[in-house]
Amino acid sequence: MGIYEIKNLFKRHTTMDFDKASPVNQNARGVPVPSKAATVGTCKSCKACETNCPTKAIEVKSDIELNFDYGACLQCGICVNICPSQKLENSGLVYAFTFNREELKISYVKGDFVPKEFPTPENVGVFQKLTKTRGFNYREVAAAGNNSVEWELGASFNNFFDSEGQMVRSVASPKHADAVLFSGPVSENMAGPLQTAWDCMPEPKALIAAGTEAVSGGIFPMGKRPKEPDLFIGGDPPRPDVMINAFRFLMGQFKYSFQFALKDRIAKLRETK
Amino acid sequence: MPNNLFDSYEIVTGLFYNQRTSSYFKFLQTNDSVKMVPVKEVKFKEIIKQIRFPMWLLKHSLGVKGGEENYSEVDIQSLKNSNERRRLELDRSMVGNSEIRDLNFRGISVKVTPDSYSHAVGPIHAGIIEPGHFRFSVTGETIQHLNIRLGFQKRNILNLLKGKSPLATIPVAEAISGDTAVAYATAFSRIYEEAAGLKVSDEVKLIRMVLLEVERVAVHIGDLGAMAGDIGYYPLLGVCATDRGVPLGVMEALTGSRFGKGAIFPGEVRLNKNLNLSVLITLAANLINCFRRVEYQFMRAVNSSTIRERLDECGRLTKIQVLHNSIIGMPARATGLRMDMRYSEPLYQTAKYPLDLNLEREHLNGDAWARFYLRFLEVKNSIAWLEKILPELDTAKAGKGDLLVQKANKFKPGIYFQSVEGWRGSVLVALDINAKGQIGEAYIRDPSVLNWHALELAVRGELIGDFPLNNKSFNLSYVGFDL
Repeated sequence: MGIYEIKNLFKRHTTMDFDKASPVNQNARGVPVPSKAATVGTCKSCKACETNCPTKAIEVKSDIELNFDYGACLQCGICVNICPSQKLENSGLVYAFTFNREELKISYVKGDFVPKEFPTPENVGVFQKLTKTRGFNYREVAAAGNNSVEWELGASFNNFFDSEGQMVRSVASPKHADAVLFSGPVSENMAGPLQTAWDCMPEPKALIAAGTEAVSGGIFPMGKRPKEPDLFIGGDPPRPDVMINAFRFLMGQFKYSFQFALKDRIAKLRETK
Repeated sequence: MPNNLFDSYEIVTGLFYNQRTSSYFKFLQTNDSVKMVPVKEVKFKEIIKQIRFPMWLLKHSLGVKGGEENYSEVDIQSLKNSNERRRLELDRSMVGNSEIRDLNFRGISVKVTPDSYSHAVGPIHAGIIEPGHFRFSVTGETIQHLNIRLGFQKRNILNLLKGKSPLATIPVAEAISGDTAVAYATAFSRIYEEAAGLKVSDEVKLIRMVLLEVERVAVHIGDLGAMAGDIGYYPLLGVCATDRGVPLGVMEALTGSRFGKGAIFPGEVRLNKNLNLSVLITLAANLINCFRRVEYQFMRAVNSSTIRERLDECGRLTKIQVLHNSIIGMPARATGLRMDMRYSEPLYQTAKYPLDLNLEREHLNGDAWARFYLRFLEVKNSIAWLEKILPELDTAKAGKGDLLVQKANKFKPGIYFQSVEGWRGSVLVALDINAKGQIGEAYIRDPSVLNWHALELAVRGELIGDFPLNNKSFNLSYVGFDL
């Protein structure tokens, strides 16, 4: 141990406070939302956003109805730039995680929607009982992900995000794990290994889909998963803080509702203009 | 300027089989450029006989589905002779009479003698890492031979690209290998710019170069830490793991994505709207402060002789091996060879501040130490440049995110290719484009395609316990190979 380490003992820790972390990141694009311009008049229905979305996450239903599937959204922002009448904007909302796949699908009418409550699924309830105070271990399986999720998971263990400080650890064997976290659209050649990893894990257990490609396949067709995931984390890739707060959400330590947070964010964006 | 016997060379760096026209093209790489040449031999059988095509390249470009592989009768010692190995491998890789098998794992058996054992690792490895299968042949603690088989992450990207319009291609390009998103998006964009005759200003080019260097710096800092972790030296790991976040944060502040995704499009770069001079100055200061912290810990680490000795002579590659097997990018530079596509990009030297591409080549002799030190040198050069160039960027001229390529409607049909020096090495992309800009056939060659074989060679004779260190020192992409 050198003088550097001794000096370090007196420094303030720099770890993120996950209770105070904001679901909005000012620098990130986040999910696209209808802008204030979308609340007045009608959409020209040129369908530029629908045809140019790389993952077909947008559906222009009529001149006032717009459907978004944020589980398929790469947060690339192409729709925002392509809209000829600036009816979409980047929200900066990066917490795109839920227990329920349907919760990520939003139907806007005149740029607005009514958020819904989604009950906690039964399996998640059982998992929360086990992990709320004890944390959990996960085994990561890269199932044809483009390796950016792996980089962000790696970063989640550094001393700024400190996943282990939040009682979430990565372990070498699924036999030691409480959850399997996978990234990517599950290629044909990874469906088998992913199933094996899932099968050798004891109950109660959870399946975590990390990244847009794992949630919906993204630009690829979705492959065969062992079962419907318990936790969906959107983003390509999701930031480390997003994943850690999603894990805390899964443990029942963090209260969050995607639809209500989205509604709040949209209101705030319109207020500032 | 070549100043050494090894500086003038020409290696085969890519092989594109265009199914649409049933023609073969090879890519020849010199120390700063790549050219595309039609292959004279039109018969597959004549092509595979040519020793200049590395085995991994042949199997990657032309490979078809094969059955289980059987090397159980092959003496490991005979595999150490490269000509003999090639003959044996070709012999066992034929599928029928006129096809060669790919490198996907479908079962492999290797010879086990009374004094050796075979050790299988993967597809799922013991960490947060992509899947692949490694089959070691080991005596005692020493690796005699390694077979690497991949293909687990295959997403059929080449088929997916067929018929795609330019704008729809960019998100696919960024998914080829997520950690090289900027290099791939740049290569694809340059191809469309050439085909559509889109003019690109020097400002846009410069911003792309900046993003490419930020990407390089971020990964290199992470790798420095990871290598330190693999030798059990944690102070450097701790600092690098955290400080890798600084360049990623700079990338996010510039583009809205920590990996620079969705930033580079044909004809333009889409940057965050809130950038101004004071933001750029802050970002430059963040980078240089990050480098000072990394440098302090790096110097502390390498001032300890035990760390130098630990890396010294570990996983050594020679220049001859590099040129013989067409190994490219970082592992090639780490042998002291001159190989960098950035040399041929004049803007690196003519910009207000030039980027120093000189490395201390006399200190680089192809071992894990060289790959460790090379990363540090590249981080040092790139951050010194970024610190000066970031405040000079004219972000207003980057483009307003008009997605210009949407308006381009005339494309000159043909086969185009681009090679961009990503952090692993040069990524090579060739596209056969029609008059509407749609892709007929695509060829993508990540540096990993050639460099996985470098890892097979480097670990021979090394301790099996050093494999994680050697593997990390190459840090290759699985998904970029599998496509």
